[in-house]
Amino acid sequence: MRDLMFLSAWVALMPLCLTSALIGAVVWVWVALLQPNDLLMGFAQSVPFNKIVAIFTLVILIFSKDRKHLFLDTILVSLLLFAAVATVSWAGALAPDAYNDELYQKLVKDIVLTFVLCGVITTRQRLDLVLFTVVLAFGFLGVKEGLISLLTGGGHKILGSPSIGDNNSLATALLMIIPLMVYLTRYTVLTAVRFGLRVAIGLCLVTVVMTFSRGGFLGLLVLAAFFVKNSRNKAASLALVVTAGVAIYALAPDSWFQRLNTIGEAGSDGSFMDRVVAWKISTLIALDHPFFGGGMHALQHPPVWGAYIPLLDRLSFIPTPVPDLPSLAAHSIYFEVLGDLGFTGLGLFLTILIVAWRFCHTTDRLARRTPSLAWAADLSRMMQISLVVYLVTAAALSMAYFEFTYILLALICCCRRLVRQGAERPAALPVKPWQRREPARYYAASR
Amino acid sequence: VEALLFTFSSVLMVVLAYMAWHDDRRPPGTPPTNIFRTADKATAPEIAAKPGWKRDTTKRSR
Repeated sequence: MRDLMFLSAWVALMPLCLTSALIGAVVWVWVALLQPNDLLMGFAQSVPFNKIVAIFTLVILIFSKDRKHLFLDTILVSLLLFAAVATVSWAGALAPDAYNDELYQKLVKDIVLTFVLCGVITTRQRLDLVLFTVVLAFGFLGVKEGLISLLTGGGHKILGSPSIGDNNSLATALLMIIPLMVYLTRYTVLTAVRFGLRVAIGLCLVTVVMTFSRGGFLGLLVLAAFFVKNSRNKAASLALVVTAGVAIYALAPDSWFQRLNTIGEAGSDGSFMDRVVAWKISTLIALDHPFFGGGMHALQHPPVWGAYIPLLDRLSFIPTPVPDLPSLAAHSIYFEVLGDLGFTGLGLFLTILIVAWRFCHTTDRLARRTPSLAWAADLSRMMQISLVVYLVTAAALSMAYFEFTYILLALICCCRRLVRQGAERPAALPVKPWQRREPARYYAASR
Repeated sequence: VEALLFTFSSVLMVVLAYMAWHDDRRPPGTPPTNIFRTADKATAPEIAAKPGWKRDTTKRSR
């Protein structure tokens, strides 16, 4: 039944995708984030929705007569270089297996989608459309898990989502979209939609708490702090955050507090120490292959892991026990990129994130000058919060190739471009009499 | 719950895509009809007229 419903929706969307690159890109975003194949259970499970819509969109984008709005900025150039580094790493991977190919293709698809979005987002309405799509895709997961948690009185164990990852990754993804939902709540015209968004924000917060993710809790603190810092009415925002905090404190189960108490015991926590070992091995791979790393998730290849375990003493400044595991994920976006793409890849990755932060800041400053661009100032601040949540929370998660991060980069680039196009230029200073230039009489007379 | 929400989400996506497609093709000067449309006080008189709309987006610029 679910397959039939989804296929009906898909059939309804396809004619639009065939006539509009914008709708194609939007459906691509939706499918990339939702990963419907993991949610379907029948015959539609094997349909390559993502590939179909990607091909349609690219074909329409290339062959349509509409004017293309392609542009390059620091983030997009860095992304191109990042893709080039990833290509070299993938080709010379320590573990050239199917997983290496799959992750490389995923990264390239994400970067292509970023460029497609930059090509089709030419107005505020289009930007907001993509935001709504993101919220619809991830909001579904947040609302679903939050609702089930409430209906079962907290008895539901949230394991995460196949499309995003485990419970920690789900918490990060939801924390990243909450600022965007706040922006949409402020600017959506219809009351019913605003109400729906508010309910979704509440349920997403419930889901974040009920994931029992310690990283999610830290992300929640970062979100609250930056929400107050970046908001215009700080007193009201602080009151809202305190109310939400009191509500969580009063309603969260005891087991949640017990889980949070283990944050202070990181040194004796086996899970955390295993992560430190994974970080060390990522660093060792990067030291051996400084320019292009060991390939996509080489660390998770048991022979590579086994080869580096005896070399852990090279980084003995942090004592770690030798884990009895065949392999482990990098568990940090920074170490993940370091191990996979070397110092070159990490440098580019950090450049992209730092420039994205800077873009949000400059867009906010520029948009404030023009009253009609107040929305862009608000959106920039919210996207900055989303970025900070990612930088902090994903520092302990393998989410370097997370689709939404690349979509967020596209949104940041497009928002900046829209503001630069629409911002009021400062009025020219009046010219003083002694600054006036005489016409070039001499030149005219000599002719 | 999951099946219901999944269906609802898919239907919302279709509605969103159709309305956006329609709005994207409207003649210049025609107001958007998308139920998911956004606007701010400077550009949307219908929001500014609402009593619940307290944000004065022009205050800061002044």
